[in-house]
Amino acid sequence: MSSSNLRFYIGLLIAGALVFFGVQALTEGYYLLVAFYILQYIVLATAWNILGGYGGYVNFGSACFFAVGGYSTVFFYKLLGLQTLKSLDCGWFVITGPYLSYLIIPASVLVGAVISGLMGLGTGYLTLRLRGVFFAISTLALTVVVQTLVLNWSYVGGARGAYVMRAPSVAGFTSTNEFVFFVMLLIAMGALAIARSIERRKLGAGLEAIRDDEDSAECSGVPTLQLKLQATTISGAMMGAVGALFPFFVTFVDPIGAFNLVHTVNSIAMPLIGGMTHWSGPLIGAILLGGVQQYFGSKNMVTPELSLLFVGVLMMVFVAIAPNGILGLWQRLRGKEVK
Amino acid sequence: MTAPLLSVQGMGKRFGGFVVLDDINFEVYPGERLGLIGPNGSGKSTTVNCLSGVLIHDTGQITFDGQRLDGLKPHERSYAGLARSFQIPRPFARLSVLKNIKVPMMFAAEKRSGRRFNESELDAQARHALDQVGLLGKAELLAGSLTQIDLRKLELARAIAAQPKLLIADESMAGLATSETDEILALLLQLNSQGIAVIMIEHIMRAVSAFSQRLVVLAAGKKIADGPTQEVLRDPLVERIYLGD
Amino acid sequence: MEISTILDLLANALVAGIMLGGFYAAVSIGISISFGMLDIANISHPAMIMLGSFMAYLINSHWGLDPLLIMLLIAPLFGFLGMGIYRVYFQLFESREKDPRRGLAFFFGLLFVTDVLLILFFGADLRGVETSYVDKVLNFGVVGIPLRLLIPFFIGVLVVLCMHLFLTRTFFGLAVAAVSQQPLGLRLMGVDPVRVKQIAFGLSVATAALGGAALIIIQPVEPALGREYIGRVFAVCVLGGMGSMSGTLFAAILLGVAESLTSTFLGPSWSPAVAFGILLFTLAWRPAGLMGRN
Repeated sequence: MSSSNLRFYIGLLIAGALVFFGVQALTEGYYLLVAFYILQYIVLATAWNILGGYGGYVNFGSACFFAVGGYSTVFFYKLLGLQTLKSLDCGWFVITGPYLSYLIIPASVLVGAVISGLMGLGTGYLTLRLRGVFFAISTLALTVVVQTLVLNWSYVGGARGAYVMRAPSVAGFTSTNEFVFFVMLLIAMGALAIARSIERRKLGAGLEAIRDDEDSAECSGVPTLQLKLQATTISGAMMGAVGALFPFFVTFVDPIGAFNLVHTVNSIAMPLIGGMTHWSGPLIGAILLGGVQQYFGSKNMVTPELSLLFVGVLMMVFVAIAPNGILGLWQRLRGKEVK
Repeated sequence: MTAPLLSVQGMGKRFGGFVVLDDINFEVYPGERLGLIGPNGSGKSTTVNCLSGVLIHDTGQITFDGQRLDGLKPHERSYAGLARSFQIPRPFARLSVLKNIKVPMMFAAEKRSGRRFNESELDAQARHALDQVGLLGKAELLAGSLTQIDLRKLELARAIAAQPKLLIADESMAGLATSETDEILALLLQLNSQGIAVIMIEHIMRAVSAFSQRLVVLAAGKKIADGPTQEVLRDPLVERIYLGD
Repeated sequence: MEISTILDLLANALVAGIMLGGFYAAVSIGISISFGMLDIANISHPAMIMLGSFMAYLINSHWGLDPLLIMLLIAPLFGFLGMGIYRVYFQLFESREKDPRRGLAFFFGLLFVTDVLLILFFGADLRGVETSYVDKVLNFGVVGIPLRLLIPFFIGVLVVLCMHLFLTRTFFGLAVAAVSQQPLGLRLMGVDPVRVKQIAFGLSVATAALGGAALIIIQPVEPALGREYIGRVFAVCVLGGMGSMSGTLFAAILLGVAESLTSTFLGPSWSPAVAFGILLFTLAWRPAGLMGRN
C-alpha cells in the first residue's frame, strides 16, 4: 500500500477510535446523539458529492434514498417478524438476544443499501441520458411520489408510522444505542474511504471530465453513461445504508420525518459549503453545518423551520459568492488556483 | 492497393426537414493526410460530429479499421482508434493540463492497448505528450486558464493521447496568428509522421494545401470534389465555390 | 359495479380531468416560458404558485376581495418579483462561467426558503377562500361540473390564449420567442436580449400568481401542496414540447384527464405518481414532447 494510503487509513482508524471512545467517555447521552447525526450527515454529504461534486449531476432526492433505506428496514422487520425474534437457530448454532443485533442491524444496512442503490440505478438509467437538469427535476419529483406511496402503504404503517423494536442489549456494548452508533461510525469511515478511493481512480477522473465537458469526455473515451450510473448507484446505496440504520436509533419511523426535505437540503449544502472537489469538503461541511444545527436545535433556540431557513440562506450565499466552498476559500488564500 | 482505414458510404443527415448531409462518400487510407474543405454551412462540422458519434447519421455506413461504427457511442469509437479535436477547444477546464491528458490515456488509450497503465506509467506518458506539444511547463496549471494557442495545442495533445489511428482536426487553426498557425501545422505533420492518419478541416487554404495529400470538398451538404490536392484546387467547380477565398 | 355507474364515473372523471387540465395549463405555462423557452430550470416555480395562493388567501380574508380580482392585482407584483429574481440570477450565474449546478442550487434554495417562510407565516393548516361560487355546481345530465373547477379551467385557457397571442402578435412577444435562438439578431435590432429575458421571466412568475389564485379557488391550500406541482409543471412542459403554448394546453389536459381517471378508479393517492410517470415516459421516449420542437 502506498504511503499516502497508509497514512489515510491509519488516520481514519485513529479518528474513528477517538470518536467512539470519546463519546463513550462523555457519559451524557446527548453527545452520542449529536455525534450520530453528524456522522449521518457526513455520509449523506459524501454520498451526494460523489455524483454531484465529482460528476456535476445534482440529486434533489437524497431524502428519498434515505427514507427508502429506512422503510426497507421497516418492511423486512415486518416481513420476517423480527419484532418478536428472541433467538435465531442457524442449524449449527443458535444466535441469542444480545448477539442478534450483530446479524440483524448490519443485514438491514446492507439490504437498505442494495434497495436504494437499485433505485439510483433505475432513476439514472431513465434520466441520465439527458441533460443533468432533467435528472435533477426527476429526483425532486421522485421524492414526492415515493413519499406518497409510502404514506398510503399500510403494511409499513402509512401515515401513522411504524415502530422498530431493537434488542434490549447488545453484547460488548453498554447499550443498543451505542452499538447502533458504532455501526454508523463504521459506515461513515467506509463512506469517506470509498469517496477518497473514487476520487483517486479512473471513476473519479472520468466523473470530473464529465462534469467539465461531457461531450468532450465521451470523445476522450470516457463511457459517460456507465460512470454516471455507477456514481448514482454508489451514492444511492450509501444514502440507503444510513437510512436503513436510522430506525434502529430512533425506533419510530414515519413518512413525514423520513422524507423530510432537511436531508436533501443538508446533503447539498454541506458539500457546497465545505467544498465539492475533495472528499474532505463534505466532511468539513457536515461537521460545521451539522454541529451548528445540532447545537441550536438542542438549546431549543430555533425551531426546525428556522434551522432550515438558516441552511437555505447560507447555501444560497455560498453558491453566489463562494461556490468552491471553504476548501476553495482556503486554496484561494494560499494563492493556489482551485482544482 | 491497401484497404481504407475509414470508409464513409452514403452518409446522410437531416435536422427536421432540413437536409444537412446528402450521400457523402469518401475514404481515408492509413497514414494519409486528407483535407476536408468547403464553405460555411457545407456540412463539414456535421460530418465530423457524425464520424465521432456525437451526432447519429440517418443514412449510410461508416466503417473504420474493418469495424462498422454505426450505432457506436463516441467513447466506443475512440476505443476503435478514432479521435477528434473540437473546433472551439473543449478542455476539462477545472482539471490541470496534465490531468486533461491523463483522461484520454486512462480511458481510450488504456482500452486500446488492452492492459492497465499504472500511476507512474501514466504520469510519464502524459508528461511526454505534453512535452511533444511544448506544454510541459504548464502541466500543473488549470486548463481553463490557458491562452488560445495553448488550448489548441492541448486539444490536439488530448486527441493523440488516446493513441488513435485517425485524428480529425476540426479547424485547429481558426483565429490564430500566422506564426501560431505554422506551429499547429508542424505539430500535425509531426503526428502524421508517426503513422496517424489525419483529416484536416480548415478554412486557411495555404495550410490545407500544404498539408493535405488529397482533398474532399463539400458544398451545401454534398461532396463536389475528391482527389489529389492540386487537381482538386484547379477544379473549376471548386474555384467557383470558393470565389473570393 | 354496473355499467351505467361506471360510465357515469367515467364521464365525470373525464370532464373533471379536462377542467383540471385547464388549470394545470395555468400553473405550467410559467415553466413553459422559463424552462421551455429561456432554458432556465426554475424549480422554485411551485413555491411561487403557493405564494400566490397564500397572497390570495391573505387579501381575501382581510378585505374580502374575490380571488379573480386579487389575481389581477398581484400578477403585476409577481411580475416585478420575477424580474428581480432574474436580475439576481443573471448577475450571479449566467454572465459568468456556466456551472449549471449553481443555478439549480439557487432556485432550489429559493424553493424551500419560500416554502419555509410560508410555513412560518401561515403554519401548516389549510387555508381557503370565501367566494360566492365556491359550492355551486352546474349539472349537464349525468355530469356535474363544480364552478370552482370550471372557473380555473377558463382562467387556464385564457392565460394560454393570451400568452399565445402575445408571443406571436406583439413585437415584444416575438422577441421573447426569438431570444434564445437569435440573441445576436435581437441585438442588431437594438433590443437587449437580457432585458427581454428578464421581462419574460417576470411574466412566467406572474402566471404563477394567476395559477396560485386559481388553485385556492379549487381547494384550500397548505404550503406542502406545492411539492406535488413540481412533477406536474415539468411534466406538462416536457410533454408539451418545451415552449409550445398549444402543446402546454394539450399536455396539461392530458395530465388532468390521466390524473382524474387514476384518482377515480385507482384512488386519489396515486395522483402525484401520474405526473411523474408521464414525465419519465416522455423523457425516455420523446424528449421533444408532443408538439416537438427540434
